[in-house]
Amino acid sequence: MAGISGVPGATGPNVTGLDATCFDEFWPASGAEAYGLGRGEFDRLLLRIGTAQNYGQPQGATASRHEQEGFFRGLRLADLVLARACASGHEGAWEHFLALYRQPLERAAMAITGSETLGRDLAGQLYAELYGLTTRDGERRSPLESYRGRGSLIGWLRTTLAQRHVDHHRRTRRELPLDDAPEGCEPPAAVPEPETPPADIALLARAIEMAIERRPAEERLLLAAYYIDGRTLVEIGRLLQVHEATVSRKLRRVAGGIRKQVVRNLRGWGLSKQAAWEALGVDPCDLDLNLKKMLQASSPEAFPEKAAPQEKAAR
Amino acid sequence: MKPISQAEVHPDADSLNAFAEQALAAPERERILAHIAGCGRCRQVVFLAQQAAADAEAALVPAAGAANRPGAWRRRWRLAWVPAAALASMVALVVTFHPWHAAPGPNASQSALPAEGKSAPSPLSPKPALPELRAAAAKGATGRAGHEEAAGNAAGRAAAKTVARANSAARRRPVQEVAVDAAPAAAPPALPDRPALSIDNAALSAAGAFGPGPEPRPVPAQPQPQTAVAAWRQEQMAGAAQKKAAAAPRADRSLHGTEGRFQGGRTMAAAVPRPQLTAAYAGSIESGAFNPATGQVAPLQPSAFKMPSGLMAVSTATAWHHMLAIDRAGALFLSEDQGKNWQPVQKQWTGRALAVKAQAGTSAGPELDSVFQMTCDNGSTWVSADGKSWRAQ
Repeated sequence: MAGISGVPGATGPNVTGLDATCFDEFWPASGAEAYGLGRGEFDRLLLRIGTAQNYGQPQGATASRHEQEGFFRGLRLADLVLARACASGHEGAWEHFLALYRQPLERAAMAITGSETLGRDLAGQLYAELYGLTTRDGERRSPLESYRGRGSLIGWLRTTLAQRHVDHHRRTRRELPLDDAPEGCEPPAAVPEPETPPADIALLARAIEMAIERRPAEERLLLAAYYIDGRTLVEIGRLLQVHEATVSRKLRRVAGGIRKQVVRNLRGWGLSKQAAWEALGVDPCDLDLNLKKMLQASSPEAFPEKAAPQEKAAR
Repeated sequence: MKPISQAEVHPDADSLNAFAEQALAAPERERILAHIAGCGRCRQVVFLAQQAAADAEAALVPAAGAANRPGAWRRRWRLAWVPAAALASMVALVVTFHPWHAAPGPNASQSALPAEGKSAPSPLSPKPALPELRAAAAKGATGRAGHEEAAGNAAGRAAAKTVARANSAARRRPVQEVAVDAAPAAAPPALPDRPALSIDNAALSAAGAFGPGPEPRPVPAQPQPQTAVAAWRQEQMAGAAQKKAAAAPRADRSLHGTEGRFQGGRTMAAAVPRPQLTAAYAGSIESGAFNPATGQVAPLQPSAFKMPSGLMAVSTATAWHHMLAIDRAGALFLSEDQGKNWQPVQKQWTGRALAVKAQAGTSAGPELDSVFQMTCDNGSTWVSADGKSWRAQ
């Protein structure tokens, strides 16, 4: 039976007094001993995860002891230990993993792909990856190493399946022959040179763009999910953990807020109040706006780091 | 802000999953939210994972899954409407009829006494409650007004309570039916005090009173299996007969007829010679104080007569052809035609006449010198043989 003592990064940050107190409490609850994980390795694993995520605080901020403890207490230790044990090839851990997650994983894959065949294929591919059939630099690599225990392991597996499916779909969609391309993917016909829009319409487009950019992230998520992705209120509510009626109210509020902000922008640029409100009555077809691009504008600094390199650095 | 390619800057599965499971600290959640708002790929990933989780929950525990899904509270509530509506109906019915079941006051039947000038049933009879009860029952459980009327009627409450205890089977019937049945059950408390006479018994008793005749025939007991409904119907019939009799001229008040209707023995009553005690017995019927064993006649129900003075009689007494009545002013009136015509009696007494009664032994004959006895407010008692001449006793 292979232990997980061979997990890379056996050395790492030192355990402080507070950490030791917490880890004494976490150790028996995690069940790490059953997978051959020593106490020292367990402590170092938690510290690596904590420092890699800066204990859930923004990069550059110093987490207080209270925040550190809260971060550790929020970890799914049993799932984390199981994932690490599986990643290191522990047989008992794999048996446990399969008993727990084989069927749920297949069901999730079928639900994601919408097909039993595709779902089984997707789940099989993920199993192969999880088992560490891929190697990098002669070392067996498993995606389970990237699991850090902040959510449930089954949730992580579903999300990973969804990532694989979406990436595969996006990749293969580009490879469709032109004859089979769905409507909307046809190459654009020769578009006549656009006429220069009237000044007030250009002003309106700019005002809308600015109004949307200034909306908070959650509001932009609502707009994108509802108007661009076509998600239902129930789906959005499930994601944000609110009721669908709340989502509906928020959407109405956001739309009203954008309308007012557009009017404010127009008035700030010299239009009278009446002219600003009349400008909102312009036919949307006359506007040269790409709302999808606007809403999908994401800051490149949001995720400059990836978890794996961060952990690697921590090791 | 220039849109950029997001191929390499997506948050990993752990962060997306932690975001979806609300397991992130606020700063990191904001970062993920900002990314998802602008990243169609990550939105799709998160929504697909959420959909898979919802499907898994629904498949594993359908009931629990349905309960946890957003909007399930409405479905649960929709299912709960049925028992909730049933419960509300029960509560409404209980609230409507509960006052009847409440403990009646000690003078419950007294509170049901009619106003003066109306047909006067037995003071112990709860019959006045019946119209309200029946009206409330007719209105059904929704009749709040009926409920309030009934709630204010202590006799109805007493009736309902009595029946509720006596007839448990009735509880299993529809509530309205129980309510209707509850009213007649007011009769039992009054039964011991009222003469349990059928018409033939009354006639025979009266006939026996003329002489040493036989002992009054034992009163046949009311059939015990008689249901509350039947008892109530008899009460209703009797009440209607009394009202009709009270409204009719005195000469037309066929008390035998009334009694016949009361007991359903008109033919038998016609077969019996009409005794002289007819009017007295009528009074006893109305006052409920006739004692067939002694032949003593209690004063008639006073409110049945209106004196020539325009005032209602407060006390009456009847013996043979003579009927005496005292009005509210204390004036004494005499009638020799069973209350059809009244003549004032000259005052020969001191004080104000309060009550008049026929003394015991009136059945023996008018030759006695103290057939009537009158009580005044100064405590003096006066007697008279014919109702016209009075002397201090």
